[in-house]
Amino acid sequence: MNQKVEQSDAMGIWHDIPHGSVVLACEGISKSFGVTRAVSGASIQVNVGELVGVVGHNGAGKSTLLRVVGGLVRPDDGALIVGPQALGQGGYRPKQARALGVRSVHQELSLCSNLTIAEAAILASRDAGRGFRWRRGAAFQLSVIFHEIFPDASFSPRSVIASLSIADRQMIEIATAVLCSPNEQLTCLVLDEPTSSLDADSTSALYRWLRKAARERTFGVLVSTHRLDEVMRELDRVYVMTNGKIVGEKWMNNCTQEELVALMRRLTAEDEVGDAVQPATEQIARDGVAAAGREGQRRSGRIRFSDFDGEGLRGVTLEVNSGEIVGLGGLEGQGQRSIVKAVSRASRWWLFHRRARASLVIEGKVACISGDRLNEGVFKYWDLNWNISVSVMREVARLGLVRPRLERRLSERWLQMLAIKGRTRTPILALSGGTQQKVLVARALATDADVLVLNDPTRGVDEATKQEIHNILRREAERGVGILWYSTENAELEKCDRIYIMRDQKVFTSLAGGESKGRDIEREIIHASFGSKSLPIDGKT
Amino acid sequence: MMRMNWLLGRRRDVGRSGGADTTGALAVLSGKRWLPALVGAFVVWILTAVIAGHGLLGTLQEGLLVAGLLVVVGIGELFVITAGNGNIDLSIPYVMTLTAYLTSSVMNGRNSALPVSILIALAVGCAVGLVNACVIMVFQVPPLIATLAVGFIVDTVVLLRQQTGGVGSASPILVKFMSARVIGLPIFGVAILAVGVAAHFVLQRSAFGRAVQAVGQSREAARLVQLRPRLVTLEAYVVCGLCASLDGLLLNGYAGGPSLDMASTYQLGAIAVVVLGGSLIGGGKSNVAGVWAASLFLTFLVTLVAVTSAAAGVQDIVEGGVIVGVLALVASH
Repeated sequence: MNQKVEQSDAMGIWHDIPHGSVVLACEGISKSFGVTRAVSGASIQVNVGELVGVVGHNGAGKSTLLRVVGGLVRPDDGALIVGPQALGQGGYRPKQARALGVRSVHQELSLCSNLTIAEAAILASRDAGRGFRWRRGAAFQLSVIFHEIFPDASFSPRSVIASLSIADRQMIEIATAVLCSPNEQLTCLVLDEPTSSLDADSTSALYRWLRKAARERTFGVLVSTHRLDEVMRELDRVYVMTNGKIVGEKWMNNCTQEELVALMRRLTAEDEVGDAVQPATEQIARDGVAAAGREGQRRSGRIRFSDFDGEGLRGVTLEVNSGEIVGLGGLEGQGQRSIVKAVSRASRWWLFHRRARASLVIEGKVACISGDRLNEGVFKYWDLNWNISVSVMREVARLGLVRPRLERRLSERWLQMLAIKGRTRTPILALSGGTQQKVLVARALATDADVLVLNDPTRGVDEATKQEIHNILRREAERGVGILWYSTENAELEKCDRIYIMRDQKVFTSLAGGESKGRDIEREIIHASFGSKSLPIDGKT
Repeated sequence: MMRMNWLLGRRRDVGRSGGADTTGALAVLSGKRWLPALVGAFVVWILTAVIAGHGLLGTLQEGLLVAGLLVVVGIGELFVITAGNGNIDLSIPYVMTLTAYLTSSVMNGRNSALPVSILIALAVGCAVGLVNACVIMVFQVPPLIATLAVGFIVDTVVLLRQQTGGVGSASPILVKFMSARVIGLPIFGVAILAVGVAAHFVLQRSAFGRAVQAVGQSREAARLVQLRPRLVTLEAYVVCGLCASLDGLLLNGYAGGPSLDMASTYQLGAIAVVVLGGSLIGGGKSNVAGVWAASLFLTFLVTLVAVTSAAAGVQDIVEGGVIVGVLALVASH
């Protein structure tokens, strides 16, 4: 706790408050999910009439911080102060947040999709409509505030939420969030990525209204966004987050976009841990390869998308060659997962494969590893033995029956090769998340695949294990395996030979990888994924 | 029965420490989820023998036979339930009845027609299994409703069949197979024991069985290891249909001839033995030994309650209470 306060003192967050009175402040907020520390020691404050931003790349902790402020997530540590009221340790509940006038618009749109707009409005504010004709009352109240915010847009209160376009849903969501009865007072409006699906006109309308209403109704606005040009144009002040920490506070009147990008660059975790781990894992890697006697066996696998349109993608063209590690980067939800899905589906169904033959060619055996261990990874009732051998049933079975000794020998060999702490009979859920992930890697490698498809495989995995997995992947690539790797961490994409940056279900650009020559690939990735036109990818160094 | 708790209560610690450092036979047994059902079967067997006065062996002889019939459909249901995702088959009794009627009229007391009727049984089971799976997957109907609806359709076919055609009777060989005994043990019961062992191997050791379990635990994960969840589920329904139709043939042999409600107790019975035996109703974890133990337990329990001269209402209450008690024991570890 002490440390955190010192840290923020050093950055001057708590001193030289610019103007106005504080409507909301957080002090030393920390929150972990399992081994992942989403937010650590974050301190922010929002003043009356001020538009404050939180920026940072994927997984920097923006959403978690905003959810703590909105009362949806209770912090492990830290204090919240809303208006005059100090809430002390442990945050508050959504209901309490509402009572104090803190309203949130969430990144994942949260309106019930089976309700009509009027019904959704009444859920957001019970006082909006009364009596027998409550729907009409709610619709009227909502349309007043809606047209105040978005004068050029319109909606029909009887349409069902599910039938709306994503942009309309976003606008309705914003309008319902600020819907107040006369005796309610907004203190702070928290918006998580409110403009990600809005067009330019609605976006500027929203900010115009926020600016005006925040002054007139005396509330503060806390907003997270990925669009830096918007940040520069519309906000007063931003906090820059990296790896769950607030690494800087910038006033937009004397700051350039370059400075923000430089701050957002992740302090890569290898700087802290990596070097110590490296030698040990190298050793394991060498021993492992020797033990398996697989050095001589070359593999050769390729993936080629050419103007591929399935899975919601729009004309994707990309290529993974034998021996190459190809990264998929960019902001989350830009189509990376669809690419991974397309490959996995095409490899399972020859029919699909044939239909898509022209646009998606896969050569060689495919194995997939997902970072969503609980849903797409482990078989929870099984031990390590069965969890590994499930991918190679054909190899360990004779006449349709599994040979237990063959099976166990295979699993033991892989446990040894990847230095997995655990025995064949250990239930998989008894292991830590990182170790479970290594078992999944073992399962994929056991198939002796020519192509590896990775869906954010190191999600929630500790640094040391991450390093080990990176080394294993590099080793596989050296054998000729083609690897397609989607990662939400830019630091990880540095390990790739080539990186495709996705935007809007398309490949936006591709970057050459490689850590050499003192390039700052991370910065290039951030540039490309935010992709504002005023900031060309120079790659000068 | 609650006295067994001391014996069973250690499961959690064992699991946490990796399962390796078990001490003694008790600890080994404590990991077996079929144990409550087996102990229950044993207790009820002795009680039944004492009260009914048929002797231990006599009770066991009859019990093995009746329980064997329940085991077959229990194993079929086990495959479907293990495939997870709410899969369940409620068409079992109707398939049994239909098969009984069809094969009975084909056999009509002749041994020569037995092979044909076995083929008919296989065809019926296969067809109903396919239809079940198709209704569930193509029309996205929840399994609970889809299989019941298919069952009702099959039931209507039975009614039409019963109104138009002759009933016929089972072939003498089949009847003989159901009633013959070797050194006091019913051949049929022993044969079903072998079927149980085979089913265990299929579920635990075959690629298909592993696939069924994998799909039951996580469809997505199964997909990523190149399994095809929908195909695996379809196969499970076909296995269940085949079990049901073959059991219909056997039941026909046991009863001598078909009747409309001959299989009605198998509706809940098939599901009950799966759950009582310690398999998970949510899928992913199966236990064939448990199906056997639970079938014996249920069979003896029904016999016991029937031989006591208690009122019908009291009988049902006792039966239900005991089942709930055993389930609570199973769930407690």
